[in-house]
Amino acid sequence: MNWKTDLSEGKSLCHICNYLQDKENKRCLRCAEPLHQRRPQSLAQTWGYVLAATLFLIPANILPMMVVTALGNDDRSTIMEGVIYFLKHQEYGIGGIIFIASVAVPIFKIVVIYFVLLIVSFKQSTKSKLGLKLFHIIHIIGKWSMLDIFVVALMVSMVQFGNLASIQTGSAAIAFCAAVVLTIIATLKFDPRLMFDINTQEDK
Amino acid sequence: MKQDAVVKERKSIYIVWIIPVVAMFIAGWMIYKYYDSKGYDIYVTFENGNGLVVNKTPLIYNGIKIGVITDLKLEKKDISKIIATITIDTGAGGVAKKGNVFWKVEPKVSLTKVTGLSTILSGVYIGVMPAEKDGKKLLALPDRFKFVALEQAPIDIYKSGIRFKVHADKSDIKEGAPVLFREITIGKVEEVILTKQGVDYSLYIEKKYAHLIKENSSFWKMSGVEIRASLAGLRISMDSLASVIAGGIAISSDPEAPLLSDLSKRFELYDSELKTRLNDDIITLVSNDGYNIDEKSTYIYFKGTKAGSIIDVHYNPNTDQTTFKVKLGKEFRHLANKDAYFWIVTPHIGLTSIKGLDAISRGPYISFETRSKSETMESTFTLHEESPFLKGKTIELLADQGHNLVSGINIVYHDIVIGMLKKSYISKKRKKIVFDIVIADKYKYLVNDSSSFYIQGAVEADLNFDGAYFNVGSLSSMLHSGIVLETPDLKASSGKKAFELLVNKRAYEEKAYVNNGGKFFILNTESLGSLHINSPVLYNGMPIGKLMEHKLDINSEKIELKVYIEPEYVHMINASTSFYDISGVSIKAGLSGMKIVTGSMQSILKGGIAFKTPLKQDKAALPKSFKLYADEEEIEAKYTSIELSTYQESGLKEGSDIIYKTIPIGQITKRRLKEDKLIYEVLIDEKYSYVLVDDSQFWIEDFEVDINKVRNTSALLTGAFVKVMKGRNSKTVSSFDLALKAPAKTLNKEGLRVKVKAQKLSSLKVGSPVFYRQIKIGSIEDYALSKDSKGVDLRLFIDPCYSYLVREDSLFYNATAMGMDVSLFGVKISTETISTMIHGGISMVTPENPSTPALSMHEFKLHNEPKEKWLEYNPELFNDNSSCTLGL
Repeated sequence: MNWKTDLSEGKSLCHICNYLQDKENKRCLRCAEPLHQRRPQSLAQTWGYVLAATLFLIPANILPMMVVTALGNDDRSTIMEGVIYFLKHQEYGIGGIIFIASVAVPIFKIVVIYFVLLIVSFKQSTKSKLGLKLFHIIHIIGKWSMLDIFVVALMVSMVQFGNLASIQTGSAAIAFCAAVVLTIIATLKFDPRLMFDINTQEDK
Repeated sequence: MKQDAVVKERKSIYIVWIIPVVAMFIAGWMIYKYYDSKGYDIYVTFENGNGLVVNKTPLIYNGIKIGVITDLKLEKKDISKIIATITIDTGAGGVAKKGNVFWKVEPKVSLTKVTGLSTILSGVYIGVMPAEKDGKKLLALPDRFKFVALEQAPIDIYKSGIRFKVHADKSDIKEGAPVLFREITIGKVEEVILTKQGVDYSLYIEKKYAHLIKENSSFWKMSGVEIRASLAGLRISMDSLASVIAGGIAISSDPEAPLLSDLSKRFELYDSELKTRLNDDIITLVSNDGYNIDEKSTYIYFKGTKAGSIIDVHYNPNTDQTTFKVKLGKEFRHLANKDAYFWIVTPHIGLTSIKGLDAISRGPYISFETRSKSETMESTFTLHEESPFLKGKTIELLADQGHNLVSGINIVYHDIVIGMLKKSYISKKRKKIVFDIVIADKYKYLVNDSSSFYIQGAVEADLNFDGAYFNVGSLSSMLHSGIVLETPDLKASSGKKAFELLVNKRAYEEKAYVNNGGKFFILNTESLGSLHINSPVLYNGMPIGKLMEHKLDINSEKIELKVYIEPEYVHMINASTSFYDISGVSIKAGLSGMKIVTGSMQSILKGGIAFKTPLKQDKAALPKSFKLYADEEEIEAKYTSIELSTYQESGLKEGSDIIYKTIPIGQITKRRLKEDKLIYEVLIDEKYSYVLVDDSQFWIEDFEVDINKVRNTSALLTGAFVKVMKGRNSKTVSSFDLALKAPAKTLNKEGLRVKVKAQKLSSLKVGSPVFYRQIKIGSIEDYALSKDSKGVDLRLFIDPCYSYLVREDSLFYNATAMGMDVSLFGVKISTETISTMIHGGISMVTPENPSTPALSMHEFKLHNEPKEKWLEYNPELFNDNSSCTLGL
């Protein structure tokens, strides 16, 4: 595939003020920000962050998310246990939402990031368009994973009845937060234009 | 050759890679930490798995969770048993040691035991008790990971204290109930065990209170709220709140007694404190008669307070005597000294009287008293029949009820005991219950005819709108009812031997209040509203009396109120007084605004009666019963207020009557000057307000001497009065002119009125007659100087029966003048009647062929004397007025 890209034309786009100018400039002619054609070290950073996020997802799912103490008994439950609980009690709505927001979406995001990273690494130019679409999707829905944390935070603040019933966050909550934040940062760091560079290079 | 520098990006390790590395460490550490805190496992075998839930059922030591069941399996060798894997939290060391015991705590309610009720809410848990209390020693024990759970919890040896058993007949105390010493919780009931002889309670007493338990401590039940109802009254007593819920056991101990040494001693648990007291000394009473004494229910009283009970009755046939073994309470024992006198009170129903009244309801009882403070104790006494002889004056008190007064009760005067109640009986003759009381000789002067006696309970409380009322008698009378003597006048004579016994101090106060000299009035009303006994009677807000009684009269269906007015104010009530209900607050809202009327604060709460007396001196007799109006508005209507004005002075003053047709219908209440006019404010009785029409005449009547009579002699004594004559119109007014003279009697009568013009009045006056053929057909009603001052205008009133006689061409002449005719034929004197000689009169003639009848106010000329021919006139005139019955 042969596209005209900024690389081929020798132009670069300022990432702050969007001013298209010659790539020779060190600084943007309009806003004086450092000018570069592609995000520097985009690949490395994205790899780093996405790996960290993956690592954090492990404790997020193993350790308990929420500890419910009722009448002296505490009940620790992980995310999946919570989802199963709701489904069992026929709260399909809540169960479904938590599953999507806390399980499906984070995994989906990480998978997509790996996907686009691999597109660039293995120069799979045919998948570029697909990759771009997916990337846009996760870019938008990324932050909604925090929904589950929000639910836990609400439950903790509302259910504080001393010995009768009280809820505390479990260690998984922090890990989950970290995982979501890291995926967001990973998406920010990735420069999707890289997926289209490989094509032009190949041709060469 | 120059070579371009090859710019190669140096492959460096980006800093960003720190992040995943750190992430790895953190994640790894979190997981590690989590699993590490899980601790080690132990295995405990249970008889059943009831209540055991994986990951939920905790292991609790001393109230703290130190582990949780993580797995449940069946024991291979004996599948009826369950093996629970308990994961102990790290930090809880010493759990897996040999000698530790485990048991399941679950609610157990069985025929013999009740435990673990708290776990119904919190869920079953597993308890553990270490083999050693000392931590070091515990850790030194060998390890062990497999245990068999106990059937039930072991004794808490780490709770130091003492334990012993208390025995009772029935179990109404629950596990966990407190053990109290002087209302401080010193321990609790740990177990309730059924035995063959009843129930054993295992008590645990905390270590710091263990010294309170003595060899001879007494234990009794506190069963929360105790309600004892008997003919003596209702008694409600309540102990600590905890014991209200769970029951409880109270302890009392003799401080001197030795400490409890033998923990296996079983104490007796009594039903009440009283019963424990009855544990003490036993005295013997000897008597010649069995008296129907029942062990269980015959009690010994000291001055009205229960002091002991009979525990044994034994008849000795040899001596024909009956011995009673009596247990006296500790505080009373010392009273049974050598001078104590015991007597029995039994009911005695005879032909003329019933004696021992109180004994009928509670059965025979034994009362005792002692005159001296001797310290010498006796233990055998004779049981007498008669109450002890008291030297003194005997007085009889009469009452309608027995009031549960026990023989031996004190008579008290200003807190000094001056006598005693000897006995009580019903007197059929007097139809009352008679109490014989004896007043000691040295106090008998205190009783005289002004004395009152009333019953004094220990604390008397009366709560009503007057406020709460508490009356606490003397300390001694607090122990028992007593009779109080009040003698307001110590100098009164003393002849009375029988007095009424008032029910309480209130009744006495009311009686005293009423005897002050005030007066009672009866009011009637349809509904009591918020009035009740003691509602005040107010005058302008000031209480001057009270409502004493009320009762419903079935015949008239009205409520009769008996109202007492204090002596100083009795004169304010007279026949014109209206009473109205001033209870509460009345709000009147109208176009002119809102008016909130309220009596005193008291009357808002307890209702009240107010009154108004409009006529300060109403000499009429007081009615038998006054009507109580619902509010002030209603009575306003009783009197109408009018004003009479005049320029003339007269003898009228406040209190002067207004008379209508000889009946007094009102009174002058006030007089005042308005510029030069005298205004009299008058109240006219509502009943007669119909006379107040705009053409009614009011005039002053005073003592008068006239030519033909003396008038109003009564006015000599009572003063001038006002008379009124009712007008014929219907418009009501409230302001009238007061004339000096009575108006013509004919003024408001139906009839024909005509105007006659005369040159001068001569001797004519109001009332002067009008004649036709010497028959009076009317009179002069009024006269006035004519407008042009050329003559006098007279108004004549012609009786309706004769009005047909007056025609338009009738002629009127002055008949007064004595006609004197002097002529050659002699003197001719003609006059109509003698009275016209004095008062004057008018004669009328109607000519032949008379014209139409004269209309009202037709003008005629008054001639001085008649013409000759007039006297000849003789027309035929017919009366077409059928309502006249004149003539034959």
